Amino acid sequence: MKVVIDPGMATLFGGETRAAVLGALANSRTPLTAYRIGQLTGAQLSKVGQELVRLERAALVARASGGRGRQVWVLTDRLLEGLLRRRVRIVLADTWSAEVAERARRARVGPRPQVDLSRFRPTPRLIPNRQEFVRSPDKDRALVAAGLRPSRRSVRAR
Amino acid sequence: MTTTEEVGRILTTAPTKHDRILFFAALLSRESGSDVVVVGGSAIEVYTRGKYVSGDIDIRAERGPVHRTLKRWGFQDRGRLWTRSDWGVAVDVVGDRYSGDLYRATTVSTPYGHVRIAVVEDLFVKRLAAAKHWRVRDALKEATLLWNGYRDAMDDRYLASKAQEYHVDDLLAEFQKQPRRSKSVSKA
Repeated sequence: MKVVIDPGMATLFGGETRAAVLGALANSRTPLTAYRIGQLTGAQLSKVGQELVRLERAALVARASGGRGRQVWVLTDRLLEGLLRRRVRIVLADTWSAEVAERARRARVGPRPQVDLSRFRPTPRLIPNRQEFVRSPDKDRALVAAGLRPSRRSVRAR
Repeated sequence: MTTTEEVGRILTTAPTKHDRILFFAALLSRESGSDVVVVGGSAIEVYTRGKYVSGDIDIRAERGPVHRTLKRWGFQDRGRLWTRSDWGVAVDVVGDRYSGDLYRATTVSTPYGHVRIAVVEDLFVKRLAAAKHWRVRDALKEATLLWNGYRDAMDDRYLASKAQEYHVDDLLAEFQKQPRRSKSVSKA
């Protein structure tokens, strides 16, 4: 499956594949081979290679030795990386898992804002898609009937 | 085509429950040909490493192709939910359209194909909305976990626009009062 790219980013970078290649590099903790970028983006390897060479000429990416004769690629511009990480979020499951674990650990030890909800006036009628926020009891009944654990939420976000 | 036995084996060997969600959704996306987005409690579970566990996998996708695939895999149609007890999996196709900016969703490349996870800013804002407008105390806890974990990865402008849309800009301001961490989490 080819990854779907924000049309704005595709326009900015001159094409979906180019934006996807840059996005894959921006979100990767380690330098990537062209093959790995192809896996991530769903783009053809030959097309990935063409884009990398073009981006290298523009000094936006650089190649390095990945050991054992492998060539790997990195993004060279930190500002560009920030933009891409916000707008083209493409990650490999295994490397993303490491990032999520780190974030989850940080989240658990982070500060807990003391928010007094009574200070905020609820206006549920103004909320778009508010049916999303009300969990159907049928769902929990179906879970129990299937021998599965029901959610302890009565209200949720989708 | 992935057989029912293969799906069962993949779910059994997935290293974590979060991987199970990702792998299953990726397989479902590949097999059904539908763009599957993991949303709701399942997405929060993935982002927070299961600190908050939901009972089912909520997805946005085309119902027809997804339901046909689930049926082929031996799932039971229980109205809104499709369940397979021996796998411990229940799937709810909550709709076909994602309500936020789908292009900002995280696309995860798994060994079984790609899958998208709901935009972290959307999840955070909707948790704030659940807390403020429906007084759900746990929603605030979940929002805090997302905020503490992903603050540096959130797009401020997008966050502000979603907060306005869900009438939680005042609540967002409470979170923004906290001193911002100087160090961001290294990228994946």
